Amino acid sequence: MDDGGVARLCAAALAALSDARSELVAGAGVEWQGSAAERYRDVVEDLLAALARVTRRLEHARGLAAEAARTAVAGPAGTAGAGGASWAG
Amino acid sequence: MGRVADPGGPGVALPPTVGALHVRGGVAGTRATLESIAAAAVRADRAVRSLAAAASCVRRAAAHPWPAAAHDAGHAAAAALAQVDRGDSGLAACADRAAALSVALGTAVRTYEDADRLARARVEAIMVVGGARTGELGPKGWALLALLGGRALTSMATYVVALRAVRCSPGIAGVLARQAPDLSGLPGVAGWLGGAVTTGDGLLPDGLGVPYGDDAELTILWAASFALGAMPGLWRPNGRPVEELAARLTLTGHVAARILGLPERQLVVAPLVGGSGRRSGGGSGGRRPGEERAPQGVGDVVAQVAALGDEPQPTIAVQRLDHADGTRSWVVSVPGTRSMDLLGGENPMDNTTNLALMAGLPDDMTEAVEVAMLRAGVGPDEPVLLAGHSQGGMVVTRLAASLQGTFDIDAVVTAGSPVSSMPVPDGVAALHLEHAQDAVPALEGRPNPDAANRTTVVRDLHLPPETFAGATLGTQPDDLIPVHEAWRYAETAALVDGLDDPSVRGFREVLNGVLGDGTARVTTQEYAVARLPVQGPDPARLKTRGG
Repeated sequence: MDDGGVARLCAAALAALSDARSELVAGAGVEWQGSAAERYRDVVEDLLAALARVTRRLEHARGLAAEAARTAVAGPAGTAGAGGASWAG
Repeated sequence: MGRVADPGGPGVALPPTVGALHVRGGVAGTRATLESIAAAAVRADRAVRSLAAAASCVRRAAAHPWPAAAHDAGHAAAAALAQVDRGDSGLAACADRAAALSVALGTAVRTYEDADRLARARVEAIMVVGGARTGELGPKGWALLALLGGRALTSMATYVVALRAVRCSPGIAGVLARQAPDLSGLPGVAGWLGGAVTTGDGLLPDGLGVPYGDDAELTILWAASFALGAMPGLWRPNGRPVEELAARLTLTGHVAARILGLPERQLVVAPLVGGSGRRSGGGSGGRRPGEERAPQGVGDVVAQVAALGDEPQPTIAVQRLDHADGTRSWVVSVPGTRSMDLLGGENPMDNTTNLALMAGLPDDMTEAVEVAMLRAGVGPDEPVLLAGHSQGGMVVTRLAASLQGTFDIDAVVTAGSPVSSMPVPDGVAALHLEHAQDAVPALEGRPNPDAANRTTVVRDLHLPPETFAGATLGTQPDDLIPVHEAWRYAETAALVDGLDDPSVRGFREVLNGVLGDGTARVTTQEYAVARLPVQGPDPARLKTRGG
């Protein structure tokens, strides 16, 4: 996998997160009245807030991954292309 | 319970005592609610799958090995990705919460459905089996039960009178007894006896009345099962005693008619021509283009049905609405029973037709309305509203299903009709009007289904007189007949027009799609219907028999 793959994985994860949030929002919009419906909507609201935080963290992580990918391509300063690069986990 | 909007002041609700209308079913009914919950469960399930896909991507990204050249930056990215998935507010935890939500919603739907079905099924089974076994006892058994029942009733009556005597007494006991709340609202026998003790003045109750609502339906189930059990031969109790009894009585009627040598008859549907007025007692029908006002709501629709009941002969009406945009729609009106005949006489709006409808057998009135619609020129793609009172409601409900593919039936309105076992196709919106004290809608032994496309509005006529739009409406029924009258249902329908309820609003949207904005040009064709002897008199000389 080349280093751009991490950013692509992050993008795919963000898209899936967006789908999940859309489904939850649509589910909360169904015609349903009463105290149970209010509790359900409260649960969905909390879950959406948590997913929003997850999304922000993931976007931050994607930014870091993109930066790491650029560093990996450019190499440390002055050593790009000299010798073989060693991989560390 | 819906609120009734004050027609003279938009957005102002009348006091709760005017809310004598109870709405069941429709887009906001229990079945619709369960369907909404099920839909929400499906959405939650999809969210779970999306979150699982997101988590998989995040884990793969976090495990990605970075070259030494990007070791520090890669490590930071990996650490950030790990944080996304970890902890109570991480992606994995969110996926678990969504999964729990989906499971909870699905469980709620199944639990409610099972409980609802089970409770009602148990009670119905008791009534059906109890009625059948009682019927099988025979005359000696019935006499014994009547004796025991009579003694029990006498004891109860004694207690009721004694308690009422205390209630009427001048002492402290009487004062306290008169403060007791009205117990007539309790379910079943408790309400019956409670009302006898706590309502009215005097030593004797005003009248115990007859059971209505759920009690009437269960009583009907018991009575039908009793009758079937009492008939010769073994009857195995099943879930459709009313339908089966109706079928047996229909067959009995046919056989009796043959034995008595009654003439063979054929159905005649004759358009009425000429006419001197729209809806008045004794007025005759006919084609009167442009003279009528287009119906603008359920009240107008049911009033048209009620007016047909005043015609001197059995009459149905097919009304054409020509709208300003060039489109056309139709309103078909069918009144109720006019004859108690069980032997298929001249008047097809009789008990022969009632029994055939309840038994699910072919009947003359359904055929008559279909013929009338074809003769009137109803187009296959032109929206149709079917409306009927009592038997007429059963006819139009049956037509809503049988005419699928022939006409575009959009909506059905029934008033005082037993239609609980008659299906209404998806795509047809139905509004069923009932009076709580009217036993006729309960004749099938079950309440109307709580479906998204079927809204039932039940009006309790026992509430104090109410004022609506400046008119005082008497709501104390003197006896059974007025609670079933078509004009009484027209009054109820007018109340429903002002009802601010989501299910009623849902129906109203469909209704307005047929009726338009009230500016349509109206042409009504009335048809007289009759069963005439195969080699009988001139069909032009139609006469009615007393109903």
